[in-house]
Amino acid sequence: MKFDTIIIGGGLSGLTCGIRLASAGRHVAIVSRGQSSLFFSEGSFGLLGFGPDGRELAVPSQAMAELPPEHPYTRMGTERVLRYAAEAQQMLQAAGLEVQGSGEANHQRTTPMGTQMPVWLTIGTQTDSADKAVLFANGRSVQQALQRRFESLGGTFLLGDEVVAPIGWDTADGQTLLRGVTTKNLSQEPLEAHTFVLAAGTFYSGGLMADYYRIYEPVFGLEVDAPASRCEWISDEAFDPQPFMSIGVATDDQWHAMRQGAAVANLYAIGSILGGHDPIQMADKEGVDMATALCVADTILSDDYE
Amino acid sequence: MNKDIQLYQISENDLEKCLKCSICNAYCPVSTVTPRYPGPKWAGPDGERHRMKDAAYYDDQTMKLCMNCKRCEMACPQGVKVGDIIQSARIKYGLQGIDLRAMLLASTDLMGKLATHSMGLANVVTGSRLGREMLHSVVGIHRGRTLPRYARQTFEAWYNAEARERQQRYDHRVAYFHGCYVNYNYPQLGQQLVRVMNALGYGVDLLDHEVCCGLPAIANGMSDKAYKNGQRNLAAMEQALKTAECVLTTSSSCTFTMRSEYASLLNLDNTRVADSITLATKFIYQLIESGRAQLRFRPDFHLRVAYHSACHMERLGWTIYSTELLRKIPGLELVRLESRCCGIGGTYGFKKENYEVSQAIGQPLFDQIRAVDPDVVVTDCETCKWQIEMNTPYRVMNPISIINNSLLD
Repeated sequence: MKFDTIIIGGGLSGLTCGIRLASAGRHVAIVSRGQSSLFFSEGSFGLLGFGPDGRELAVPSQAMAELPPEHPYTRMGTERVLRYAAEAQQMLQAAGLEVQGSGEANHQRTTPMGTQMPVWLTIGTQTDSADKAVLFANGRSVQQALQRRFESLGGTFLLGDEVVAPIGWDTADGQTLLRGVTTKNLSQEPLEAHTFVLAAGTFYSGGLMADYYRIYEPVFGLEVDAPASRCEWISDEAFDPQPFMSIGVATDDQWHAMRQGAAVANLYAIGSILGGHDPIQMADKEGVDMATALCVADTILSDDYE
Repeated sequence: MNKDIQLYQISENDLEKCLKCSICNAYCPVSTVTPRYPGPKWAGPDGERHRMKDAAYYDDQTMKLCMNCKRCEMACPQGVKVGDIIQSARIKYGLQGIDLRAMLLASTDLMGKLATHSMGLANVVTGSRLGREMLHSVVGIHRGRTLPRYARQTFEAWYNAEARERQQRYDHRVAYFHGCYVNYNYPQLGQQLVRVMNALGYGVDLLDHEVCCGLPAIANGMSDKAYKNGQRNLAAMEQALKTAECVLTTSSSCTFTMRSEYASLLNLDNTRVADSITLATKFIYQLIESGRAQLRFRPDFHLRVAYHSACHMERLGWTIYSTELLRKIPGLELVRLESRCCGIGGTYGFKKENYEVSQAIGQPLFDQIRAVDPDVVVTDCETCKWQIEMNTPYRVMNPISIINNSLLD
């Protein structure tokens, strides 16, 4: 089977990228191994809740210029991140979700522990009183709304299937290209595409795996930016920043994934499989997921190969 | 590297990969509608750890509430075979039942033989109020269920009389595992498959004595019977594959059982034939895509279909073949229904204690079908067909029937 783009991973970043591409008329398939961590989201999204120094941010853009060079936002620049944030919000609304908040300023939400924390968007209805229990739409409804939207735009969602291996790699004009992939269920049916997007998440969903010796990307054998020694993956104190949270696959400036020292020209990485930031410390998970997804979708759409 | 370390000790069905995240519970059709079933995590990986220590932890009444839809396995981000853990436990610890109802529900081929030879008497009994009251109170099949009707002539009888000889004209050959439903309830589907395959230039052979795939036997505590059926079918398929390109099917559940459950639940060695057991829609899609054959469609065909993906079809991951094949028909508009269980679960929904659960599971699907208001609903599973036809005013057809109707004469 042939598609314009095949996205590996059906979580927030994969669906965001898929919806953008499918809205532009591209023929897109998403291969989703199972449900993702989006399911556990309480329905509140972070763009940038805390600065690199740990201070709480009332306005996300306040600290974007201070982010380290490896942070995904630094690559895009504040202006583009804010534009993608606005577009992401519109996309959620177009999928039928009730969304409050904006990228211009954070608002407070009550955590399950009863504390307050700065967030970008709240999905569903929020009570105005902080001392009341706050009920949010859960991540499942976000996942379902986005999947429904993707499918209604003509996208193909392969549920419960899993990319097992690349068909092969081509080299043309000094560029490495991924030829296609095989999946577990469609074993005799190579899936080919012009571009591929890896949105497979990290350790929970199996986008990254770890054993006693290394952290690796299991499907394509992509390069992973991780300390060689296992002792450096974790800090001893549970509530300290954990280095493994910032580990991800290596990419070039355009989010092309790196393999054997070279960027793969038609394979992009988006969402939490990218490293360079700690979503727990910075409360920027959904912002990175959606902004990188939209950024890569724009790059793919700008290539008018047809 | 020491292979004894925990990292490499992954037991059957990937039990240890379970992270206890509970996503399977949220996607279980049964635990969503009844508090009586604590969900696949409890029945599967959690319970298995206890059962490994002491079989007394096995609770038959609760475990029987699993309908084996496998949606837990599709939801699991870690690839734990939650459904297989549950069904394997039922086989290992469950009461291997010999009650009347289990025998009736599990013996689809024997019942079919009796019913088709009863000259319509079976249909009179199952269609009458009195008959259904009897089935409810004596056997335990819920009185609210519309029961499948039996045909007067089996598919095999039709094939031998009308089709067998003609098949010799074709150079290319496929074998057809028709299943109990086609043979006893709806031979028209088998006839349509023969016509469609002939139009593609393929002759259709039947297996030498196929029997029920064994799925209803597994579901009703008769795994020994399922094992014997499996052995027989595998031998027949191996024989047929000496001349046929593959074994075609028109039922997603028979297909899933023979390709997957034979090995995972019954410990049958199906490696020599499993890859050759293929749904007809997949085979035809691939034939057309590869340019090896083509179909000529009626130019005046117009139909708005709603496609329902059966649970086992989703588990196979082959929904895309049926929908993409249907999309090749000019004049056909396809609406994909949301992927959710219809509630029947094969023989599950026929049991009187499961009736309400079964109906509650299917309700959102019935509502969506009414909202879509298609000309016809299409699905690859016969028991989904019964459930949807009983609960909505729409006719439900197999994709092969749609292909047949759209063909130029």
